[in-house]
Amino acid sequence: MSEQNYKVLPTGVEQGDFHQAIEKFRALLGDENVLVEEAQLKPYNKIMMPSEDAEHAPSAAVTATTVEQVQGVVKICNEFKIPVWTVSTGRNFGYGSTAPHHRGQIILDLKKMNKILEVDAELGTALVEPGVTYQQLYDYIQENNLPLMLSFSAPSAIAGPLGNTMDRGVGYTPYGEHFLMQCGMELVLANGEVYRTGMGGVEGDKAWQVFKWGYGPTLDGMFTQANYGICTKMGFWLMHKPPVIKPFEIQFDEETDIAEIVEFIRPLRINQVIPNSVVIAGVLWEASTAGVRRSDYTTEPGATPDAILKQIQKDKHLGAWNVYCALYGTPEQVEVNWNIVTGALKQLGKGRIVTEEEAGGTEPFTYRAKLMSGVPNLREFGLYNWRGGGGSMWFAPVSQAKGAECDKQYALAKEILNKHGLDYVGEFIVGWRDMHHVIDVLYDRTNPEETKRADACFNELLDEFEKRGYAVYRVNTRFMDRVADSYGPVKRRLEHTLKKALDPNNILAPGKSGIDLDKFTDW
Amino acid sequence: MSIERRSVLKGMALGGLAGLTLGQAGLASAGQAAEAVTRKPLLVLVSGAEAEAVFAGGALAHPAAGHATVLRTDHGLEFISALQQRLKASSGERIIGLVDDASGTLILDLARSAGARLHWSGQHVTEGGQSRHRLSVTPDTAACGHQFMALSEGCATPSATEDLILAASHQWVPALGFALASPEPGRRYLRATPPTQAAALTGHYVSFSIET
Repeated sequence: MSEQNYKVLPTGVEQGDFHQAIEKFRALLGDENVLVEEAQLKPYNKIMMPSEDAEHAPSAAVTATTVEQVQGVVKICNEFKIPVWTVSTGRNFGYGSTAPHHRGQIILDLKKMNKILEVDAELGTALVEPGVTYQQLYDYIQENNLPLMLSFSAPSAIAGPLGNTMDRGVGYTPYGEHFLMQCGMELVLANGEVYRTGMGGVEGDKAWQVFKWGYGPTLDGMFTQANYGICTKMGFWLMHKPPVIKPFEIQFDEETDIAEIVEFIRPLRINQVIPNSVVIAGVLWEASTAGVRRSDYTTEPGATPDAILKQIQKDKHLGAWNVYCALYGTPEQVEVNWNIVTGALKQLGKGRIVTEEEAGGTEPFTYRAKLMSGVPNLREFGLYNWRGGGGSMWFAPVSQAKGAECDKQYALAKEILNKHGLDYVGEFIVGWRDMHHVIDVLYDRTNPEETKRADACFNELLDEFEKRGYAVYRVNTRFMDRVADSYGPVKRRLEHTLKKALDPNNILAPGKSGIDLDKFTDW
Repeated sequence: MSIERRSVLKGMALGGLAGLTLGQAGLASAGQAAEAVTRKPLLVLVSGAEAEAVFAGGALAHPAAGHATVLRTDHGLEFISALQQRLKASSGERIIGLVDDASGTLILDLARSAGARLHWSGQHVTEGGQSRHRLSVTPDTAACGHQFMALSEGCATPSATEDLILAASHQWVPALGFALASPEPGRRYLRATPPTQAAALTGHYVSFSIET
């Protein structure tokens, strides 16, 4: 192919060098796996952040099908100093989607590495490649009639376990803390070597997917939300499907109930009476996923008034807070735990239980029940229809599972969002002792003024939460550097020291979680 | 130029989606068409009856929209899975649409994972009798954008940026369908125009032009 003029280039790379690199990618991967045309790259440039698309435009996208090809891609990137942003299924909606951290990075799309390598029904373990989706795994389990169930994030069907776990995503079952359930990784390092964590380096070992720690330093966590290697295989644990799953909801009528809800839930959760990642969802989250749009109630700009929230609550039979839990086990176990839960609720003196039978197949109960039972669905995408316009950023601060803390976070978040004319569309996901407070900052990207407000709002959320000792656990690519600062200079220096040692050419996903040798100066 | 006129019949089966979606939505689709130019099949995706009538009406008014099928989308797993299979299996199909934000987010990402080309994506809002549009187009479809602007009532000339943000009146949907339906963006067809009398859609929409 003759040399062409590439519209977007990696920083510091000349047209001629880039063309040589592209030719080498073609020789390695085949023409059909090297994308450079604008129409081929545009789908990789779809963002939901308050940035111009051009700031996140890739220079090329390549797809690999084997570990050896990934090694080859890394080698070429090193040779030409080309930064590479890796995606697995690429469904990181609201956290940057598939677009690279910054303009000019090439995308390494691992969607074609989609083999389910092993599922052990007795041990409840799986080993998969990056492109495997939860739907694919679900179908495999169904087709083979395996007594297993999955835990996944809300974009379940189209997302994948490897990508979600590597970004430390969460689900809604007892196995909802996905990184906790991860067991064994294979990574291609920046120098091209293949490293396996845990027991994976032992010749002939069979314990890679059952024993996390191996020998000496355990490094798995270092590769998550990071840019020290490209994960090409990941093992994780699957829950054995119990004879009974009993999903239920508890509705609370007042937004001021949040502190009492958390105090009520915490002992039940810590003691595994309610074993799953419980969700405490606000009214707008639930309304959106039930098909309500803001324009159904008002066309006035700005934050939606509380009177309308109350009206939606009434019209759609929702709580101000909607708590979703499930019990799992034998009929006897479930009965015992059900009695404990209902007894505790009676003692609390507020809250209305809705069982699956009472919900009668209505939304949002049905999709919540599916998420807690390991059945994929896409219902939660309804959030994007609440306000419309394509803007979405997850603001996800962590807190202790204590009522006063959650009350404080909720009040602060709502105040800041409303000040900027945006709505609180949020939920708390209850870990064992923590809360992932997940808020979808929804705004209209067709409106430049609203987009500016959303950007200012997100910055203020980060600033004000940080002043009170809170930080987010995950963020979109626009704010990664800012959030890295929240965690202090020592952590940043250590992370960059590691980066320098493992990836001196800074080719693997520069910018991920604020780690970028070209920008970091605080040595 | 030889002219052929044909109708795309209600419930016409086309690929894996048709049985599912046409059956579910009970969607009527009708088209009229041309002609000698070799055309790729055109699939028109819409969310809801209003968009179906107005956007698809604009698309099907285009003389080159001949082999068109109109499908009503949703963001349910059944539809999305069927669309995913179709995107992966088909080659040389054009898919245009005007759908809600949730469906649009999913469809555009499915296009990426299927390796399809995305020539055009747009976010559109109509409120208070005015509309706003944020467009992202490839150079190949720039003419399509100009046609949309020319045909949309009261459309302001945009500033020249990569992401076009422009304003128009509430009557823009038939023009968009008409412009995206063209297999040769910018080519002029004598006497062909989108319908001028159409219901004004309100709310938020996502548009796209995908090529498998």
